[in-house]
Amino acid sequence: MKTELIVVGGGPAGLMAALEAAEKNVMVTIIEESHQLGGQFRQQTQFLDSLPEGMPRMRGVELANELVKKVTNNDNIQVYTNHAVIGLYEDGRVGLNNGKEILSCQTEKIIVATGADIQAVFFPGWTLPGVMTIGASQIMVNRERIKPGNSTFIVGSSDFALEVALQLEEVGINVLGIIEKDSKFHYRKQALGEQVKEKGIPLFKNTFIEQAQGNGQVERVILNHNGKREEYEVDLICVDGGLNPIVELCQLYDCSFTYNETLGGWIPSYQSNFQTSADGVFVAGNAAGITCQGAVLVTGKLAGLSVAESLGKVSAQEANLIRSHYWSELSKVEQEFNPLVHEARMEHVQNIDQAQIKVYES
Amino acid sequence: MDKSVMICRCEEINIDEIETVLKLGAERFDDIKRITRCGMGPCQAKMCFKPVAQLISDYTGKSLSEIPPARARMPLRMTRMSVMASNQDSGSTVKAVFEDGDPDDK
Repeated sequence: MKTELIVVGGGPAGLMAALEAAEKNVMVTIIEESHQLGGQFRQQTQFLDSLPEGMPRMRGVELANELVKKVTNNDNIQVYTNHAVIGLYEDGRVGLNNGKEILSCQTEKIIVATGADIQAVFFPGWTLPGVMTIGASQIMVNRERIKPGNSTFIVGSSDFALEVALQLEEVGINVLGIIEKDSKFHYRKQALGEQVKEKGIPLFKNTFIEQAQGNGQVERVILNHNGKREEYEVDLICVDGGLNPIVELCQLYDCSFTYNETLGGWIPSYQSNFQTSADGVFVAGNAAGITCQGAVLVTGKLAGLSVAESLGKVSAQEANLIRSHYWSELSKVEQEFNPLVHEARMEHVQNIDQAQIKVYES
Repeated sequence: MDKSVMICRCEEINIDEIETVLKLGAERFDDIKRITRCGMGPCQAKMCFKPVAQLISDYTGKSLSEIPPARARMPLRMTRMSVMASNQDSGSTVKAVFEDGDPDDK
């Protein structure tokens, strides 16, 4: 196989990056490890906020379908689902596993749009069946059409946690409460907080799980609520430990990394064109720092544009014009979401010179 | 927290086992990995890196930015040996071993 650009990951960022590059006549190959494009948007039934310019307010699943349709109809884009990038050859070819054989693909540029993993929350009993991440419970309900339990606590108070709480309640799961270990809640959309209260779902601050118990599966949970122990019968616990960027591929490319707490921890350093310290290796989406869905989409456009520029499909002058436009869009959606995240991103981009070179080498 | 709480679910490594290695002088995730197998299962440290980094930070007083990420190595995803051996490119050692036996044995 031979291509001009490999996009690793067919989620929102990867699809946007592919479309942007393909529009500028780059030959694109999308490598997606699951059987379907669309990534995490495939189970986001809620409306997405702060979408980039020109996108009407819509649900994640609707946007996923729209992007997939555009990608499928684009002659410059080849899609390989059920293919995972597993390594690199010495001569730069990318190694793929499709479950049957190892294929190699020669490419000029690569965009790492591998997204993020949702993290667990640790307490005695967290490995019992019936304890799962809020992301997993959302996939079960919205994608697999399986009701994961009858009564639950949600652990964590992010916007996403509240959205999932509402979706679980909607399919008849009794959400006994949303608990937050800190002294204040972390959700940022006030309307969501109102909706949760209207549904009668209580929110508890200063509360954490002391223990989950059960014989072979979760049967009860012991909460510590303001120092007081409370016991409830539940068969489901949905935890939100936040998101962690997936960036191992950048390590194989020997990219420099920087630790940025606000953006989700260790992420590859990159310039304002989203190119990492490794020539021809770009990042996009949550792999470039955890942010909101709108910003994930815009970073995809930025990476796609920069690849087109680096391949000489767009003049530097034109690319700079479009890039500054995309950056103002990124700044708009990200500031709307959380100004601190945007500040952290600016700092990350400006500090590329101070990046820690191959910190993972021992 | 209870020392028996599992941190690495793939390899079933608990807090106590990680703290034992910290007492031996471990300073980074890979030190703990090499001794306990923490992070060597199917998820390849995607779930346990952060909690282990926190344990290292708590024990050593280092900030999280001083604790490097887990070293990623090929293959990045679980890959069957038969798939690895089906590599069509010439010079694949694995393929050669599967077809002809270990070259060192000859």
